[in-house]
Amino acid sequence: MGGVMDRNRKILIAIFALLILSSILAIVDISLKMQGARREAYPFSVPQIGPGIGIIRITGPIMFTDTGDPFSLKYGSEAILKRLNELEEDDRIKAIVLRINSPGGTVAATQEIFQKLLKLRKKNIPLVASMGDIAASGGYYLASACNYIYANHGTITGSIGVIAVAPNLKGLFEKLGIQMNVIKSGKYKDLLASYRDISAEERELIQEMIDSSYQKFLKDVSMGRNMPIGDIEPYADGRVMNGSSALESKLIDGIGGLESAIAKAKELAELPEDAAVYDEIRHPLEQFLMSMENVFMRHSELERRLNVKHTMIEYRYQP
Amino acid sequence: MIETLRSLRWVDYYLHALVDPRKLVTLINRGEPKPLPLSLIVVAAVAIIDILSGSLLSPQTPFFYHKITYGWILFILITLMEIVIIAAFIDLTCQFLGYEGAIRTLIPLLCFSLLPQTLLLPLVYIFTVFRFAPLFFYAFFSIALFIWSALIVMIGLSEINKIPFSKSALIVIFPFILIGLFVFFVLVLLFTQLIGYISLT
Repeated sequence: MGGVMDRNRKILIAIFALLILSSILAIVDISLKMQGARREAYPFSVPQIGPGIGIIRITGPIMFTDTGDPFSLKYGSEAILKRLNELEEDDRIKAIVLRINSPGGTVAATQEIFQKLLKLRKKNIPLVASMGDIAASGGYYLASACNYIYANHGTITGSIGVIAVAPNLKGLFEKLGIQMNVIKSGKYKDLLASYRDISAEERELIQEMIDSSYQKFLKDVSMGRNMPIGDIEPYADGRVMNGSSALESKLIDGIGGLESAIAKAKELAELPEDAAVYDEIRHPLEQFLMSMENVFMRHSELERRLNVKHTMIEYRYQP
Repeated sequence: MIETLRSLRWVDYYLHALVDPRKLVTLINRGEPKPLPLSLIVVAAVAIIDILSGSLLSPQTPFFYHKITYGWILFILITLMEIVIIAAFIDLTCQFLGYEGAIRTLIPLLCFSLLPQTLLLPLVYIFTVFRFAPLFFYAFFSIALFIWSALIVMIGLSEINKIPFSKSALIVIFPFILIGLFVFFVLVLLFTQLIGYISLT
């Protein structure tokens, strides 16, 4: 009886040993899978120690977003500024690569990020821009703050200019028999109202604002690119161009992707080729929240096109 | 301590948890070696196995390192809290039906009853390696091992109170139904709150 019991005990201990072994195997397996996934996603992101390059991704419209909005983390200019601050305070970061994939955005948000980039540049932190599918208007504005700009051949860039779009729904209102009662303190208080035509005076007022923002755009690009305004003006009529044309126009410095931009950043920062690359890390919970964005925050195409809620003056490419 | 370890008497708890829960109760009541620390090892092991099994099947992210380094402590605490609540409910039901309270035996019994769930990892691992419906088998084995655990508690409880298996089964199921209903209504409330919040923002 005692012998059988002893045998059973030993069998159970063997099972426990197998359990421990399978746990260790699982940990190694998961780690290896993770390393493999990382290599695939960021082939140049190891090792993650010591001085290196910080990457910041500017994706989608550049604008201030409601801080109460759980999705503002993704594209809000606050998120970009926060990331820039983190990179600035991190002693390991010797250069920054801006991965831009944006059609631009609001004037104020773009200018605020531009100023921040200039501040970093003045602190002798080299900045290199890498353009993705699109880096037009405000997207280009931000790129111009960098020491060096890379774009792909097919990147849509340029679109230097300012735009304000407001729908005129007067005809629709009349057709539906809707009349608006407006009590206002001044004649311009309902500027760009969608229920009536815009007057010549109002158009002039808006045009002045747009011209002023445009001049600021030109001045900043001229300063960032170290080019006379006269050399930029011929291309600053709102036209879009691909990477090759932008290179010919000297709006960018080279043709290349993110890898080229990282190599250039390392060169400018005098870092070795195998220096670390610190990419943005998204918490899984954050990723989960972002994946829910399309479920809960879906806007109709009509709403987006009409932009009924707010009419904004923007540095944006609007095809 | 070393003598106890060498004697392998501590293994009897785990052995009887798997093969004879009635003897497990007798061992717990005898209290030699002390059952509570040995039963807590099962809770810790189940927490780690749960993390590993879940991580094997889900996309691998660096968050895994947080889970496996200190996240499992949270898992243990949650599991222990569940055990204490379920033991309290079972004990309450027993006393309500006129039986004696036995919370000191119940808590180690519930901890030891989790032992079959440690087998989840090797079972799931096989199907993950061969990529043969691992998610299905994860769910299948989770349910099967949970039923095994529940059976251990039911048999153990019938031994504690010297009552028929059917009666102890009812006593064990009761808190699950109660907690299930509570959690269900809490989730419904939370879900409606969440949808309301999201639609307003």
